[in-house]
Amino acid sequence: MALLDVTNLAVTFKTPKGPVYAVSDVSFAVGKGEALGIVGESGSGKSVTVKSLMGLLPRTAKVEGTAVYDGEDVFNLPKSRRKHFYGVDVAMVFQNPMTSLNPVKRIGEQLMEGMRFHRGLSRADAKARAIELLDLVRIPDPSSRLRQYPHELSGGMRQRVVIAMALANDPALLIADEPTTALDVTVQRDILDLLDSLRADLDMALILITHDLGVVRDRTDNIVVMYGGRVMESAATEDVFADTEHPYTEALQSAIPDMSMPRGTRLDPIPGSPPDLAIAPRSCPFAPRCNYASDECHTSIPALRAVGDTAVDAASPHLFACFNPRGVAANEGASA
Amino acid sequence: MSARVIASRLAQMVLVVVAVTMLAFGSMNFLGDPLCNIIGPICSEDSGEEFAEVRAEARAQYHLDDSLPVRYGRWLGDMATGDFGRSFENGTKVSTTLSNKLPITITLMVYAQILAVLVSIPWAVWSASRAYRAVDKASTVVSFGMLGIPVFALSVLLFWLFAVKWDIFPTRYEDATFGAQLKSLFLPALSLAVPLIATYQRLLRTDLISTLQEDFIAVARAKGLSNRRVLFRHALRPSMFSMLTVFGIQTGALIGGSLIVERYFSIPGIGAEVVEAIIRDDFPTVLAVVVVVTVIFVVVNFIVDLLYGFLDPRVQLDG
Amino acid sequence: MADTESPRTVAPPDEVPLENPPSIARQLGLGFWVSVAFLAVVILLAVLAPVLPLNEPTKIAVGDKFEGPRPGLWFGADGNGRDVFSLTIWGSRISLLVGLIAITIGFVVGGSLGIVSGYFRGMFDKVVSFIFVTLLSFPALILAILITTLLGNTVFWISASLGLLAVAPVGRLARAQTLVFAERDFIAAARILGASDGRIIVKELLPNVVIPMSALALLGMGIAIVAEGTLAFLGISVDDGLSWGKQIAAAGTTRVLREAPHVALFPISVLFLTVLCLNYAGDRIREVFDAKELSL
Repeated sequence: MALLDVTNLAVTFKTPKGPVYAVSDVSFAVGKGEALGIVGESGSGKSVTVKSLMGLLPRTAKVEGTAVYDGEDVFNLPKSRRKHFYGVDVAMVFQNPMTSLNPVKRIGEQLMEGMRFHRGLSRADAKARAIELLDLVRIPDPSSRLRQYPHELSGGMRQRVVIAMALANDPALLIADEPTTALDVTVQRDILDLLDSLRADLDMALILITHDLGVVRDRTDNIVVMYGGRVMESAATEDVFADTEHPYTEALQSAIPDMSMPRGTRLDPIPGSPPDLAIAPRSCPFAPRCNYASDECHTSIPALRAVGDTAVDAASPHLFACFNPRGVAANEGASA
Repeated sequence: MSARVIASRLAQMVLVVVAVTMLAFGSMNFLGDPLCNIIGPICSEDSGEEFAEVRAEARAQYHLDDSLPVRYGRWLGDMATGDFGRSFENGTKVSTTLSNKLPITITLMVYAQILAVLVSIPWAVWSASRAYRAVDKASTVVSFGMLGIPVFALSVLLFWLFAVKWDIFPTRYEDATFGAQLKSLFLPALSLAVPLIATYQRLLRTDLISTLQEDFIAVARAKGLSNRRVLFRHALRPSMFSMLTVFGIQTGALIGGSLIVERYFSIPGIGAEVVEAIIRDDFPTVLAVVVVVTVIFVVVNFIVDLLYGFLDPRVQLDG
Repeated sequence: MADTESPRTVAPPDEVPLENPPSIARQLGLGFWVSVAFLAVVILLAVLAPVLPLNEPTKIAVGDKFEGPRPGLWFGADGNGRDVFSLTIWGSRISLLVGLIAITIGFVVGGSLGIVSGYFRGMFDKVVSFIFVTLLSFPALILAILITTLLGNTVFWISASLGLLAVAPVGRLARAQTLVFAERDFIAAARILGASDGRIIVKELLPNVVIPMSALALLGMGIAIVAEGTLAFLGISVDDGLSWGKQIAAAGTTRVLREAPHVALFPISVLFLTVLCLNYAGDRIREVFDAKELSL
């Protein structure tokens, strides 16, 4: 059974101009110790999805669907359970380490706060644990860092601190929302590798959110590709790359830089911009930017369906939402 | 904050204090005749030979024949040694009056600031965490109204309600015990505090609302901390800059306000004293109060500058 | 960190550029016009007091001692049986006049010092800025009392001393505004075209600096009215004649408050509403013009 099972999640924001459909009909699951990648551009709904799980959305957000964590309904936790759920069972790492740390509090204070609050550790125990955590995220000279302020650390170091903070209470699930987007290219890989090894060492599930398909390629078990608040394709990682069905996934792939490319090769950005989520969707959200769009794509929403030989009851069925799939499903589509 | 920056701040403070003393001393001497202030209408040369001796004596006693800069210098020098001169009115040492009355006024001002901070901070946090909801809008209207009521009118209003009508607080100033003093000073302090409360609440609420949008607040929430802890432990401190700045500036308003409330509530402080002194043309007292009060104002604002560094370790004060 | 997924970036309606921006009058809102209407009534009553069918404010025994409000004696009577309504209206004349003169002096002196020092910078600017700092460090109310007692408590000198208090805050704002505009292209353009400094200041800078400062004028007027009331309350305002401060001071004694609180409460309410309306109107102007400033 999966650790986290999200079914038909929908998030709508009430705004003075009318509702904004940020996330519609999103389902996925993460098993214990597994890594899931959620991939999409800005505005695809991936951040809103995890923020809804973390209870971080503003009051104007209406959340529908279910999220079951280890048998518990995340959206309806009893108050007493809720008090020690976030930051204990589930923790999160944010996009920008430059703004994720409170500028007026010492690193040590911020690290120890969570454990003291949730587990009532003594100052000395919390301090020992804080040093252990900084060591775990490979920050040199951890004990002297505790007295430093965030602005005294580099971006990469700060993100390590943020990760250490998230790990404070041994979460079973860590959500990382574009953890490297704001960092220098040179440290991006270090942070990603760190997350990967922590996941393995601590037997922790990881949801890694990114706009870069290349990032999740070697670091996740499953991938969900989102666009316009909807799931475009979801499958085991190797299936996504071996048999890409959705034109959007294909477009994301051609945007991955590849070292084997000759110098000067142009990456293909996807032309056009993401859809306006304020309009209730009546067609495939990607259709306006899609090279393969047919009339059908502009008039109705394609439902998620499975690639023929991955049965719906398999561990990770290969699902896609497209009328004109690009992979093996293209051939069977006619016969179906 | 480097030693050099502190030194330049201190130099600027001294300069301001000197400028204020010159302004005060100058206006006393240019806008009136000190001799007349000392001995009254007989100061005029036409008022008869019989008073010539009185005039000469007063001139000699107060060194009025010296040039203005010399007298200014002497006054400044005396003050530096703690000698503020003697009252024209009754000859008591001004320093005695100050040491008797200044503590009461300072108690009153600190009292008012404490009340203001104690009320405004929780109020601002409460309203910022409900920003733009109906209750927040209503509380904004209330604080706007509190800004509009003059201290003297508020004093009358509070005195009427709490002392006359409901008889909760005494109608006369009592200081037999510290408790009695605090009780007597409550209404005056509250009169001074109400506009401060509104000022602080408005500034802090605005800054808190923008701090609550920060990523590190989302991080703190994701850590599973309680809402109260997020608000008070994470959002409050980085939001206090505007409030702190105004805290210093409002010390000036408090000094002005203390004149009003001390006189109205018959509190024997320095504010009531200076009003009396001005009305009876008692220059040494007025000058001494002006200097002391300016020093207090400048020092409070200097402390405020130092506190920025405490609120935000990133702050490096410059010039 | 342009995270467009964050709900924060869902633009609230006032950030959306409208095709037909509402008129300034519309933007100022109903509250602004209610405030202006109230102020207009107060000013009109003050100006017309001599010709209105009011009881003589100084006439005693118009009503009974401490008589409560009744038709014809709307605000009741004070300890001498004088008409509190009439006293309040006559009292407003000095309060409003002093407020008006004071703020005019403050704006003329402070505004020109601020604009000139901000435009020419240099030594003059340094001196002026230091004067502003000194004035701001001087305990304001003490300065006002000092000048008033030394020069005489006439309407003019009281207004002048309150105007002096307005010089520094007004001057600092004018200087700051000038610094902002002096950098703008249209000033440079005027200079290239050979306009004299005087012409640039009057024709180009002044209009741009004055409009945002009109908000401050309203707020300042409120402050000046309160300050005059304070002086009168302390017993050092205009000797003869009535004013709100004096009226409230006279009604603020334990005896009057116990017998007839309405004698104090009516003038306090009128003063409060007047200041509130000035503050609110000033606030609205500032908000509307700040918004325009951003959209430049």
